[in-house]
Amino acid sequence: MVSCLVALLALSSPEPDAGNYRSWLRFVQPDAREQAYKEIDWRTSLREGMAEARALGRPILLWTMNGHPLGCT
Amino acid sequence: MVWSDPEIKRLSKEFVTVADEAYRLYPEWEGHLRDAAQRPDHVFFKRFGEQMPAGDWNRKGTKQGIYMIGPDAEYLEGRFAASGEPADVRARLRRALERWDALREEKGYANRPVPPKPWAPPPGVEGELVLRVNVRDLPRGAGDRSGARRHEVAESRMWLDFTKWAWNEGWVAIDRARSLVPTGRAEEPVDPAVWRQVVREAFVDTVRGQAPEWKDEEVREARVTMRRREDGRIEYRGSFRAEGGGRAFSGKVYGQGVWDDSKGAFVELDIVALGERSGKAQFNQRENDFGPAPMGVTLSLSRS
Repeated sequence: MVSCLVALLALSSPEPDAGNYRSWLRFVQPDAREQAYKEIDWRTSLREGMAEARALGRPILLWTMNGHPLGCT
Repeated sequence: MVWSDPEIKRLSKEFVTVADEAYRLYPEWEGHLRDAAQRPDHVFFKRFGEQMPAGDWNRKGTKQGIYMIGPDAEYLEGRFAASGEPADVRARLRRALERWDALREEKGYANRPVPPKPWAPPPGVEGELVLRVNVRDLPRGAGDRSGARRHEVAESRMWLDFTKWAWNEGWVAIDRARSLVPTGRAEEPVDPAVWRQVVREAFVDTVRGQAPEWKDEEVREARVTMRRREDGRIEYRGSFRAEGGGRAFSGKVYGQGVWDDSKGAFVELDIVALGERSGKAQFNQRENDFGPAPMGVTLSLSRS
């Protein structure tokens, strides 16, 4: 699949159409390994996590990046 | 990435797992820091940071990282810039849980099970139609590996390795889902205001890092038409061009969707935008890659 798409790119600027758009979807979108982080139930704000942690008496695991890690910017 | 590690996934279930934006939680610029000073989440994170060992907390810079924090901001474990080494994160999680066992006994924390959290759009993403946006570099010709998956690429342990497999994900919300449903059988334009919003917000080079949305005047072209095919599927075709601030992205669009009248909603919607990008934003790591080079953007109803 990748070699076909690369061949298409070598000919001209890529153009999506009915015949190839699903291949391009698969190429651009993350696969299962790349999306493994979604198997964890992330709360999307520390405020939400703080309230829940206090209510449950549980610790927080915070993943923080410049640019929200879940694309929530 | 560490989150695919089975042991890390298992240990994470002992925590309330939170993902949030580092600069918002702890701004580095003085002015923004003053504005954040009284915000409860900043105060909480700051109190935690004050207990962190010096080498694990980036006192003067970005606070990006992975941290384990008690319900009252107690220090358990953590490190800034700690998202690349599963072995290190596993060890920190285990130490955190050991400290947690002692802490919860000392303070009488209930340690109730953490319930699963059903998926919901991120805060601020509101509309009848919420689409997942993905962006990735495309191969630049025979033999070029741009857009490869991380496990397909040899790593040299250098920080910029991530540019070999980088991709990103975001969201765009459209107020009215029916704005992408044709009213008749003939080809008709999608509401230009809707499509301009999509181009402005979603067709942005964030492959390697943050980049701002386009300003409205930088969207030079945003045209998409829609029509109902014989099989009932809706087909989208169009083109776009955005340019300004030292960067540009232009290309073609194609997609298909299935609208369920009985539900008043899309049950399937996938749109692909392929084009050529150039230039850089302040934080999107394109200093050595001005282009022009091919890039792809997808919009999908599916969350994964």
